Amino acid sequence: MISADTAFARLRPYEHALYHCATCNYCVSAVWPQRGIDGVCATLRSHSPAASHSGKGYLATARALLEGEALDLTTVAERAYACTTCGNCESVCPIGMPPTAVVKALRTELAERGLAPAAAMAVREHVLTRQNPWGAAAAHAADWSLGLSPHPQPNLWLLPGCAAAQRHPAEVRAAAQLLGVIGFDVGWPEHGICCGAPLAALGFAHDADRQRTALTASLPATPMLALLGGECLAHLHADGQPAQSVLQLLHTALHDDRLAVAPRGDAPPPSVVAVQDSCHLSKPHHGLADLDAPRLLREVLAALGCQVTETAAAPRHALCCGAAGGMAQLHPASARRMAAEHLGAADRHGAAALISASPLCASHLADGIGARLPVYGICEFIAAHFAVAGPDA
Amino acid sequence: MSWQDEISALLPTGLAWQEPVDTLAYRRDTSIVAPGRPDLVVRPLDAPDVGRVLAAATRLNVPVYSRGAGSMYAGGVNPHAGGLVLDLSGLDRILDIDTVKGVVVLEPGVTFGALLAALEPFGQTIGIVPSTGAAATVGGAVSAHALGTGSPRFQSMGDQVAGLEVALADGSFIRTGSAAAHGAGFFQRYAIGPDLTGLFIGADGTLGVITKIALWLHPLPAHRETACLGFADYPSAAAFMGELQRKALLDNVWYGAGYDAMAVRGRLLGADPDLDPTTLPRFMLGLDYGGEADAVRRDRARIEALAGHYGGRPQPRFDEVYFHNLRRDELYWYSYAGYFAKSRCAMVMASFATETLPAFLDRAQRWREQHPQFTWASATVLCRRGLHGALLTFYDEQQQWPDVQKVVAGCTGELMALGCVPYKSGKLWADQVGKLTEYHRALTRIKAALDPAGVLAPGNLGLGAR
Repeated sequence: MISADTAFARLRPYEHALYHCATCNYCVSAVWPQRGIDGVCATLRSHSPAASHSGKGYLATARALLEGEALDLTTVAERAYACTTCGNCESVCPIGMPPTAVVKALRTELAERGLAPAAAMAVREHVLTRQNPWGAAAAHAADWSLGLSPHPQPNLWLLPGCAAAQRHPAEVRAAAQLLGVIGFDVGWPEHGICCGAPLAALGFAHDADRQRTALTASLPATPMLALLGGECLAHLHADGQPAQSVLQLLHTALHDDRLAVAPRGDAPPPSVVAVQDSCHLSKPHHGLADLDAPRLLREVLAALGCQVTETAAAPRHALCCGAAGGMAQLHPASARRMAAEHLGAADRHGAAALISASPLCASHLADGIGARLPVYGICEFIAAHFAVAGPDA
Repeated sequence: MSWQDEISALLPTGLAWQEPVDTLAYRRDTSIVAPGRPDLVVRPLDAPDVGRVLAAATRLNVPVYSRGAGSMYAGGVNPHAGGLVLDLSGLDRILDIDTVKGVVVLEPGVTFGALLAALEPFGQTIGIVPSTGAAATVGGAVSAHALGTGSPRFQSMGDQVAGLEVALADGSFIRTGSAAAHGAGFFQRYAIGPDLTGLFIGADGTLGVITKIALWLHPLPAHRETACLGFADYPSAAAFMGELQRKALLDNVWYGAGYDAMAVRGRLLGADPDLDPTTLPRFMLGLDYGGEADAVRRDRARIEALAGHYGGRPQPRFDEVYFHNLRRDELYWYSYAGYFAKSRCAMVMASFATETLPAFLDRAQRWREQHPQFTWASATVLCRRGLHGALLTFYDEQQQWPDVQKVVAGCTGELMALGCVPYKSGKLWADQVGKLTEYHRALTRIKAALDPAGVLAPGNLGLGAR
């Protein structure tokens, strides 16, 4: 037994909330069709139903630690590192409690005590040494761009993010090409530097900050920065870094007729698709809700002539697919079960493809159990099924 | 082998927890009742597992506190005696929606939100939905006899229960109402002999653990509308509501809520700061009508005409700025979120005769004056007969925990002296229930017959505190 001390300074900012939580159980299990809530916590569904893995469980744990209660911190760490940090518990809380922020602070406290689980430590090591959370060779970070040439004087700098660069190269490659068609002079880094988002999610706050600083220092003075990954965008956004979502640029280009699309005769698009909304792009906790990414994605798909079959009651409260918060690395079997739920729902709703604006979600879902339908990133989907033309065509 | 391990072994892997970090979230509910410390939490997935756990707990003399969402205000789920918490949220299947018999049969862990969503395609609903309904479980609400919204049309949660299946302390099961007859199913509550269903409603897990619930179905109303009536004083409002109940004008009123002078001022001045406060009603009654459009319009006209005899006047502005939105946009969470938005809130629920309303509200005002360290509010719900009242005390749990416990405990005794009756007793009212000598003696005998080892929820209703 490791006794908890009473410091836990990173939990102190949340002290008021810890004593305010009404234990209403909304963060555990709620169904409210009028509000688009149909279940809340992917971890409780697919990992463990113990309430210690829920929003109210994390609040109770944090409060107990602040009150000096002796808890086995190794066990606390096991629970805290089973959260996807998707932020749905915060979205549904009727009185604005911050369980996701608390679990992140708790992770940081545990990580600083050297109590992060081994799998989380491995992710940290991978990011610090290879600049991606999977441990893929850093030298291959720009392999996605083989055959493409970055513009020598770019007006848009594309940061693919680790997930796209390492796990979903077709998406970032398609993004670079599409942005070029739209009329941007696109450049990209030859060597990837992880922004630190995976480290922030795992509680390695200082390392995450250093990564972000290193990345921003490496950026050229271009007028626009564009990102694919929602988690990267949220992490940079939290530091005030101005950046655009590629989804946003696509949406604007379609709306302004700077991108024309026509179905490919040799690979016609499916007429009915399902979408996986990125938690980072859609849930308020991550700071990007104003982007309204779920609407943008649906409007892009509508412009492509695809019908979206909705599998979740509301994007804002959709359950995590298991890609976020280190779930896929720390608890891969649970993460696959989460993905399987979404794939199964898409299948049941008659979708012929599942599409996400997040390369992290898309690559995770593509690895899901029993995937009977193709999973695309939005750029990859356009490239696969549409002929495109820009304003000069 | 410890008793914890012995009971854990009865369940599939991953459904029992002993680590303190895993039991933290099962220590309490929303109330000011002191938390307990369970030694073990188990989450069975079906009724036979519940029976096995109860039989073992009785044999091993381990206290058992059953629990749904734990969002109640009376501490019934708080495991004062330690022991075992039986988390019933895993029994979450809706077993039968029988629109011919007009009954839905479900397991106790089903949330009201999930149930309403399942019933909607059938054009059906249920009569009572608690303010925490999106997350609150039906089993918890029946076991604790949750106030729900209360209802002029449907009265109370207990009145909506057609029958139950209950696991007893020895692990055996009984079915109540018509379902007690083998194969008959749930279609009548008062069948065969005495109403055993009622024995377990509001018993807070002291007599058995509910494993199936049959609720009456009601067609979704074709038309709904809200309206508010303002009264110059509490006695006039009470007299009007009494007359409304006696004249049986409430068949198409699904919900009725009363707001005291402070609430009326708060809502109306919040919307229109330039209003003259002296012109505002001191009591507001909000009514949520539901039924065929013609019937609703007819009843509303009759009710508003009757109100006029007591000085009551329609108050469309209150409906516009508050009540309509509360009933339509915040169907479940309307009051709860409002109450808890700024701080924790202690709630004492009581039932009382309609004519007791002025005394209840005047007493609430005196507490407000006597204990200014807290913010106070009161709320009333119109039922078919009598009223429910809630005394709300807003407090800072970090700074005022012992103080609020002491003050609110004092309120329960004073409410009894006013003629109020404990509602959702749990542990909050346990001392007062214990003073109801004849009632409590009978309850104790029943308890001894059904739970001779006294393992079921010791401390609730003042029964078998350890």
